[in-house]
Amino acid sequence: MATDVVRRAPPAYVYAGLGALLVAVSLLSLGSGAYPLSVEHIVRLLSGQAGADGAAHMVLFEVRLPRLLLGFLTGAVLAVSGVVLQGLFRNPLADPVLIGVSGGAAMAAVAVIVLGGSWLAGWSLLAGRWALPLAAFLGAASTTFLAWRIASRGGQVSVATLLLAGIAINAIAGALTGLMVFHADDSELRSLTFWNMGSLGQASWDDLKIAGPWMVLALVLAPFLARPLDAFAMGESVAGHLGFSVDWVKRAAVVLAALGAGAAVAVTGLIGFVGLVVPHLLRQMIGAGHRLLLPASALGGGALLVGADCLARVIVAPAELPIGLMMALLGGPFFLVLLIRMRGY
Amino acid sequence: MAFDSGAVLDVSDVSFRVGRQAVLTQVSLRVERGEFVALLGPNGAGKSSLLRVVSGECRPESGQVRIAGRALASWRRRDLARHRAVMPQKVDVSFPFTAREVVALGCPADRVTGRQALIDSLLSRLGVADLADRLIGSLSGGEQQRVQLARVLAQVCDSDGPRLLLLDECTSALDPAQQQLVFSLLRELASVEGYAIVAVVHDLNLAAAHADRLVMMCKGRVVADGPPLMVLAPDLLRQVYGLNSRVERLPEGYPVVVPLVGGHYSQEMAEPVSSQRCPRIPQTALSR
Repeated sequence: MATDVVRRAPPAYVYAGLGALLVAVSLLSLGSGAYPLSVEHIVRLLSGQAGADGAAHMVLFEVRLPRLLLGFLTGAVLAVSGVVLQGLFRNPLADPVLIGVSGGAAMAAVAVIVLGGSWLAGWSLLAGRWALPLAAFLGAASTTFLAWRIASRGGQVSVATLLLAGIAINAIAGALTGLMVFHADDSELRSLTFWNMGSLGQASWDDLKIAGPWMVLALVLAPFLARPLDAFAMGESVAGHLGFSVDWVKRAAVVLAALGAGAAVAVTGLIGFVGLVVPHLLRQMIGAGHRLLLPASALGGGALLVGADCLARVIVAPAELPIGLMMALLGGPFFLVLLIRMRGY
Repeated sequence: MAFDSGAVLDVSDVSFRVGRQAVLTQVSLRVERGEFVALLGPNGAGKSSLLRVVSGECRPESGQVRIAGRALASWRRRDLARHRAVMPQKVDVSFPFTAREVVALGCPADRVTGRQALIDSLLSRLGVADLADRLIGSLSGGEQQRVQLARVLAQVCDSDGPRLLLLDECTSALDPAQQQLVFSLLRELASVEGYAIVAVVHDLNLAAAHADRLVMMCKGRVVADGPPLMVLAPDLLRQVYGLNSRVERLPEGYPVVVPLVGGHYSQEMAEPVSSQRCPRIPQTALSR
């Protein structure tokens, strides 16, 4: 970036733009599909002016609305977890992957898919419909906890060790996942491959009920970390000098990210790039201050995922692409262009 | 909050070790309100470690640190941050914050009114007002250092009660004129506004010209503590730094150290950032 004064959009404009984008993609998401609905029709259905019976009502309330909400929450929580972990690790490339969230979730999910009928039959029986998401969430939480325990010593947590432990645990989880993939039969392979690519296709009110509260909790609590994360940008010791409890901030940041991203991954599978692209882009637009960045990232991440989901549904209609695949297809090149344009900085 | 009328900073018999290495050995130091103390000594003497212990980053093995009469551990973090600000040797800001935003990070959260005016006045006091809206990463080292100093001052400048600044080589990246500007500002903050200041300084003459007291450290101990004219003696400088020098008293009232080069080794001149501790340099090595 040139050395002159930074030019940023006024925050109000950025928020207004993100809000408008969110409304637009939401209407698109509610309206498009095998059973198209007009905007007017959607508004009448949502406001209760149209009858509560009929196919349109069914499609909107039982299929598209939960999908929209789950997409928005997932995108928002992945972007916010990204911001929080980037602030904690003081690195714009940090991601829930780094603390073991994705690796642990994937390992547990694959275990349920592959071993659900044999070794883990008890678990499948006990948890029933929730066997997969619950296992994924527990997997995410326990790998994060393990990385955290390894990195802490005498009540203090080394962020560098946490990063390295996270990478090592991810590798181990990846290898164990690979072992189970090796053991899997064809239909299991198919379903775990799709899990790995992430999908909103099965979204239901039940998913929202199980994962929604955790995601909402993470979104609501994140702004409380705004000031400490700003201070963390100058390093742990400076944050301490400024009167923040450094260990408390670290613990809160990791718990929040593991909770939010773990819940998201549990019901949607692996969806990458949201946590990387959205905060990076918004930091260029409204600056690095977390007070503005966190809510903007939630809006932006939500809008991006809902938008990508619309595309994933129409691009190969009547089939649909996995959203994780869509994100990587869109996000990867976009991120590269961004990097090439920013090379001067 | 009631404050002790005694010393702002009272360090008594502090010892600190890293592993088996004794870094500080029974260090005592008192700094009163309005006093500007320069902490001197060769690299590895324990100056930065002393600041880390005083700022609460490291817990001493024995001894006590009191700030405004209260033991360091009994302070609430947030209260302490209103009375004591710390400037580390180097601060890397990891995201694209502007200079103004960096200073704002120093402002206490409860200060809402007049925040921007305070930030502007601090930036202009340090001569970096025109850089306020530039990204901190795009500034030179010296400019960043002055912005960080403004951030440190923002933390305590409007609090009542004692104010303590702990500065670790806060002018190391500044040119001589800027060093004078910053030290004059510190001098003024101490004399006029009653700040207690402890600054690690390498430039002996800068310290002698501005500080009330010099504290010389060597191998983790305080080896001299007093007014500049007393501490800056050629004998002590030779023992501590291995520096041959002449010390002259200027008409302005403070001493100036003139390192002697001809035929003698002068560590200060030749290698100001050497890692040797209190060295004795064999004459044969210096014949060139």
